[in-house]
Amino acid sequence: MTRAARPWRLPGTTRFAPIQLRIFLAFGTTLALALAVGGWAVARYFGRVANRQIGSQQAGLARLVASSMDDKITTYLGSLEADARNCPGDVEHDRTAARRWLEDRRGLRAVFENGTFLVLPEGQLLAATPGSRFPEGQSAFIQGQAATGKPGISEAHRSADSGNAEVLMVAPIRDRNGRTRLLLAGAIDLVHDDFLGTISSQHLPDASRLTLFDAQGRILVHADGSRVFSRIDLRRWSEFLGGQGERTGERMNAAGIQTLTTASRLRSVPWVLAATLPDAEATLSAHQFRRYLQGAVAAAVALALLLTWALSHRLTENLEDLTRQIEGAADLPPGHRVLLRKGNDETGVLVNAFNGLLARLEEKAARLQKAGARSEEEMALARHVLHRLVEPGLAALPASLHMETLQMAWINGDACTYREGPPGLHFGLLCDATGHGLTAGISTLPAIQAFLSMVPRDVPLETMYLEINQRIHQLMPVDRFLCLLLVRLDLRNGSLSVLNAGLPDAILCTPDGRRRPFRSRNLPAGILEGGDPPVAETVAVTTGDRLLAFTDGVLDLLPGGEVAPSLLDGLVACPLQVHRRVIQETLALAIGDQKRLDDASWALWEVPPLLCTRVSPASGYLAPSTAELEEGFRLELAFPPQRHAVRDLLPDMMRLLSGRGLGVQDEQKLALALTEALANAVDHGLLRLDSRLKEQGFEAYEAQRQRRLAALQGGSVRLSVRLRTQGAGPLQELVVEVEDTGTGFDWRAWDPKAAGASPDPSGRGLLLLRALSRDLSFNEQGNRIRFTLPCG
Amino acid sequence: MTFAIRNDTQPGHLHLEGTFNFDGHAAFREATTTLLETRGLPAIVLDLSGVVYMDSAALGMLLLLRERAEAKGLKVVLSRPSPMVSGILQIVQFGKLFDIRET
Repeated sequence: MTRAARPWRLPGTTRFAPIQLRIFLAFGTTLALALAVGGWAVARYFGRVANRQIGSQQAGLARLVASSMDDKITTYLGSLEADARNCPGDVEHDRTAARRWLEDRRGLRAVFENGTFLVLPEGQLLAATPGSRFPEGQSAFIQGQAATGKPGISEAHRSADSGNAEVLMVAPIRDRNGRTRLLLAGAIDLVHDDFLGTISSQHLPDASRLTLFDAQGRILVHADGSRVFSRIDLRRWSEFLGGQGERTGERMNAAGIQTLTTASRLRSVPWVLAATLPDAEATLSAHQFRRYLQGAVAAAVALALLLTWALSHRLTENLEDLTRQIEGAADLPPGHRVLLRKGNDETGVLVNAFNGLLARLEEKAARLQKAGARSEEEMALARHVLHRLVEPGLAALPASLHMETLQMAWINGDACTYREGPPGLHFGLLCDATGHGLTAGISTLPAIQAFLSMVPRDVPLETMYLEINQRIHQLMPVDRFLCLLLVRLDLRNGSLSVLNAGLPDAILCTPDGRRRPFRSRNLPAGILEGGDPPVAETVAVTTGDRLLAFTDGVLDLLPGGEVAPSLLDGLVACPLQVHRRVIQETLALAIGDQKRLDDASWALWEVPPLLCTRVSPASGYLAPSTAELEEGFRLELAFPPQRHAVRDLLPDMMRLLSGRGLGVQDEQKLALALTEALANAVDHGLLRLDSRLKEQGFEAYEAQRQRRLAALQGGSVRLSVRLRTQGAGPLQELVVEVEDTGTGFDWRAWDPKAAGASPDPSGRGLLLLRALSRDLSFNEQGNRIRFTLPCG
Repeated sequence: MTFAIRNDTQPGHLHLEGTFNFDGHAAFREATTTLLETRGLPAIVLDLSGVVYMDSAALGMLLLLRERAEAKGLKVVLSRPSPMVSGILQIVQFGKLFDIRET
């Protein structure tokens, strides 16, 4: 069986930021930012340049206007002085002549449009040009000028005709003695076209406003006529000019508007000419340029983004195509996952590399799939074999026995099985191999095979262990071994034998709560070829006793290593089914959702009703051993009589027992006793030979014996020799049991006294045994003899 | 808890920590192979005081090490096993195969 191939996907392909988008964002943003900043800088630069140029232009023009005014004042005064020198000497006495002389001065009249005058030094008007009006309140000025004898310019005053600012220029007319006899005066409207209007309108920027104010802060000329002769804040103007003759700069005007202002002092009079232009108007062109520039930058940014997008798409289209192909490849069937090469750039190299990688991956996937299928097939085979070995035993479990393995994997390293032996005998095996899975499962095979093959012959547990140990050691590598527990329950005499090799303590518990552990006293099987002789323990049991055995996986599930309290306390008195269910639920609870590290196996075995009635100690059968003596070495053998002559067995048995504290006399006594007991078991127990045949000669007896041996179907003899010591002291006694599968000896009819008195060559064996031993006893059936040989 | 193995300050001593099972096979083999190739060591001492869990695969590794060490005339000493490890070593009767030192 193969598993369906899982569709594969590239990790993280559901959401990603395409490289094109990243290039676009990175370069587009940078470009747009650069253009915007560049545009802003250019606009700012040109704004400043324009501002400076306008300021410079305004300053130049203001200077020109101021200079022109100075020139005109000087020229006008000079004209007055020139005409004053030519004034005839009689005009001061003849008003008509004076007026005529004035009217003849056409040049002066062209300049001084508000009128020319001849004035007496005391300030009285002598003559005036027609249509002109001599300004009032100028007497003090006239007298002052007459006194100095120098030309001069009056303070500005309001013209009676135009309402504009007007000044009066005077030049003295002297007599021959140099005294001032008259003064020639001319009045000028400061806003008059010839004086200021024309030049200012011609040269100042359109939006500039011209303001002229005198040393008292009176406004002489202003765009707003209503402000003429109003006063300005001289202090602020002084701060602005800072003692310079001229300055151009930013300043706030009286209305609170930021202006570009140029102030220039006149040289001929203490006046200041100021040209002001509101910033908004001054920078209008710059603002317009900035708007044009903003539009241009926006267009450039849009174009740059468009170009970046197009360029990034051109650069990444092969990569995008490759990505789409890789994503789509998941939906293609195996064998058709080939990417097409679109470009001659790095993506082409990637396509080639990816195609090669895909081919290798698919090849490996196919190989892996084959290997998986093969592995599953092997696993299935191993599982089949294991089941064939284990399942029959588990299927035939008696009601008194429950055993199970909680598997961690499909094949596990734990195994448990059961098999019924000769009548009245039951055997169990619990084993835990190194590791997990198939390798561990394989390790259990030799053990289960050996166990199943030896049970029908009632081979002693020690022999089973040796056989299993040899097989595992021979078959498996050094690091593979098998912990195991062998159990033999003999219902014929109520004994339980346990051989523990590397498993946790198995516990025998009586309904009244007494416990007897069976500790591991042997190395796990497969580690050493030889080593110490194996040790099995045998105890007497009664119906209702329960044996709990388990592998170390159960210890892992129930931390603390103390299993007995949770799985035994108070439960042995309950029905077996209840006890079993409690254990199962306890283990299931312990497993929960935790990750298991090991398989866990367990067995619960209740001793069913025994097949024989225990003979009371008084009768001598199975009398409990002396309480203070401890069980030492034990030898158990079971053999069919056809293959082993007693004579051949004895040397081997004696060799096994030698060196265990037996003295020479003890050995001889034991050899003798064993010879007799085994001969009785084979000859009389199994072969049913009549001792009286010996009366016809031993040859006849032997011939009969061989015939019956050859014809014997089944049957075996079991021998048990147990050594008992007191503490660490010397050997005290040997307990020997010999049992055959025959019908039994009628020991009740045997009379030792009669046998001893008989002259027959037979019937002496029992007498000999009786003499050598103490506690000689038979079981009810008479097929088992037991006796104790004191030592030392 | 993952398995870790490191050289102790004393020559021939290895300190093992964590869960000692089959997963630690490569690290254990590498560390012990280096030790086995070192000349002049009196014995290989495995400090098991930091091992919190040990399974049969780990026991198998110890057996392999024992075999390889014996081939070079070296003893393997299992030192300071934790109570849990000590219980396992006792159950499988490794006292018959190794020199186990509780301190």
